[in-house]
Amino acid sequence: MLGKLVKFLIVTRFSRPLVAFIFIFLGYSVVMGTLYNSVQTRSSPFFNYYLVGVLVFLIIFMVFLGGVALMKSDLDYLFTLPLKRGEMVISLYLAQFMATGVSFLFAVGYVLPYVSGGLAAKAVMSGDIALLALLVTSLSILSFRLGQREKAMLAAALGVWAVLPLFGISYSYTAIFTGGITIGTVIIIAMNIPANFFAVRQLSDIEIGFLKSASRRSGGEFRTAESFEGLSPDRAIYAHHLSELSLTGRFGIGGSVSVRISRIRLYYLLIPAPLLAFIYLYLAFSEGNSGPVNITVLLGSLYVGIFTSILFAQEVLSHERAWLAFLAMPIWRYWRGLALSKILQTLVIMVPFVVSDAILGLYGFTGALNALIFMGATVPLSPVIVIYFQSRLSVNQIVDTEIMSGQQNLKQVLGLAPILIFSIMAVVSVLSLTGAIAVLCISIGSVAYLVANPRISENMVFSLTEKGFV
Amino acid sequence: MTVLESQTVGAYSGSGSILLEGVRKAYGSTVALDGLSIEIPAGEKFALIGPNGAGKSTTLKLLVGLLRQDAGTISIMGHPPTSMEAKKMLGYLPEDASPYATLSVRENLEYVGALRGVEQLRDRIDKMLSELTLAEYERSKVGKLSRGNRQKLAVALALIHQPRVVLLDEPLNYLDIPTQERVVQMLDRLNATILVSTHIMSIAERLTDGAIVIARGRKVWSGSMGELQAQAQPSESIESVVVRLMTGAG
Repeated sequence: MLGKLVKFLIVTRFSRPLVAFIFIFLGYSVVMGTLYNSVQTRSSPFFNYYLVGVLVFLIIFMVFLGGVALMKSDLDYLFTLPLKRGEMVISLYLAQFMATGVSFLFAVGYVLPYVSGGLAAKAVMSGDIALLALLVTSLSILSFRLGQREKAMLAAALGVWAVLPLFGISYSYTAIFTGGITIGTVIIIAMNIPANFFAVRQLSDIEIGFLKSASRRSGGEFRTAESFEGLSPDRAIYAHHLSELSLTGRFGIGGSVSVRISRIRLYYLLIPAPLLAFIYLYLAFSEGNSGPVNITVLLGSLYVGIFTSILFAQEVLSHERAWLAFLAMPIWRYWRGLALSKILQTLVIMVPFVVSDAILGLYGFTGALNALIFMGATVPLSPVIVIYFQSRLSVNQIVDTEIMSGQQNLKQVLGLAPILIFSIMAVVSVLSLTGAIAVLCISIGSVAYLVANPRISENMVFSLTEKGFV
Repeated sequence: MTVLESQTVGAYSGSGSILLEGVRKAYGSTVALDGLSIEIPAGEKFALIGPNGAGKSTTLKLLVGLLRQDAGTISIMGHPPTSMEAKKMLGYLPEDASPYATLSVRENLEYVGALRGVEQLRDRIDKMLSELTLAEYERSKVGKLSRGNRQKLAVALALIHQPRVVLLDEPLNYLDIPTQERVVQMLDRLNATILVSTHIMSIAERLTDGAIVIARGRKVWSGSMGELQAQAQPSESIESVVVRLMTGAG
């Protein structure tokens, strides 16, 4: 019965192509990791920064999402069946592992081939990665019942702990990526035991947790009120899309079943942005200006660029209402207002990073000017391109804030395509001034074409409507 | 009555407020509308009746310019649906409409009112909130509203600019009986051309004076409600008549 239940939970949550894709990817990592003997890359600064950054992102992501790969139909039908509780818990855990494992494998699964030190080192790293996947899974389950403040505190604590090895303190679960394999492994095991114990316990009474969580999504009113009275149509668009950033807890991955919508005023982001820009500046100076390119500048541009463009673009279409917005005025005019709002919003957030790049440039840091062009101009333009990609590839319209389906399919993975393209753009920009200017010109041309051509926006809306987006 | 194709609705004449001529729309290999022709004169109220998958929602989406037809002509008061002239006149309520989840009730009305350039917006919003008994929820998040209150807000958003042409997809879904009555009265007061998509005959009879029956993307019958009732044989319900028309069984 257990096998049938596991199969049922997986095939009802994940499309078959996605499952195939996951296993092919996993198989590739394992086979390549076993066969391929790499040069010493694991201890390179690139991998240190990259893997720690990815892990921080995933941990925070999973803690904030706090999703369990459940669907409303589970509550209505599955939980009413006379199934053994133990089998149900195991099946739910495995389904959750699949959900969280997707994003985890994408980010770190391919590192195996590059682990140096022979089969033993590879085996340890494989074990560590598997344990980290379990940790991420259990954290996503545990945070399901936490309030927003508790989640923020947990995410902040885990995030700060994760970056300690970059400052020379190796007592962290990320130490496995910075040379402290033994201490890192011990900490990962120590974290996994209580995290998985409580996660499994939570899964054993998941129905109650599910209902409690669904009934306590968020407050009934927004903390701040917006006013559009007396505004012209264009100013209303800017007021709505420029002043506030809507955040949602359903990103299409992570198996989340809930949607939590919160709004933050743009000026709240003006506090963390300079702080992050300062950390970026500090790390760049700490590393010094040696080698062909400063690793902090390269990876900082990459992370900040990707994170910002996705953050400012991810929920825009999901929360848009075609039957209201695109009926009130010509489609191209609404799209233009929305696009310009997102460009300006991103530009405001990027200003502190531009200042950091300018300071680095004044000190003669290689790549700083390139990064300035990238962060100051290319990144602010990127949300428009990402939104367009999303509209053509995969976008989920969020229409219900209580309980959402936890189904995942391969098409959602395609939504990550802009990240890949954007990563290439970031690297090309930082490594070469000519590249930075070329990427900027391409971005300007693309955005101008997307915004100025009414046909593009009309086709975008027709395509979205055909997909059921109203 | 025999199946009628491409005829003007009922006995009405004059230029159509809503006009579709030979409209075809396919989603990949699935044909949703296959040469549909409808003409509704200004000020008339018609129900678009058909079984699931008949093409009712597609027809409405084409009329509001959210979809583009593969062939045929569509106009709203003589203007293409995507034109500003048509948009100003149109009010649309999709089935299971969802207002902006990132805005409160009042913010939704203010935002859409501002986008549409509604004059004396505050008065208009206050009136709609009061009429639809939503005033106590004006600061509530849309996600926290009951399905019925969300539908009330959706109705208010569709009608806030007092449209001259109103397209409604199952408008009375989720509404309690007193609110249904209020919405019917609001629509009556608008004096607009109304096309209501529904598969519930009692709703069609409450909201409209005529019916257009479609099946498999084609019009199979059209006329006034009286003409539809006249189709009924002794002790035959109006629903049975519609089923007969849809299936072409006589």
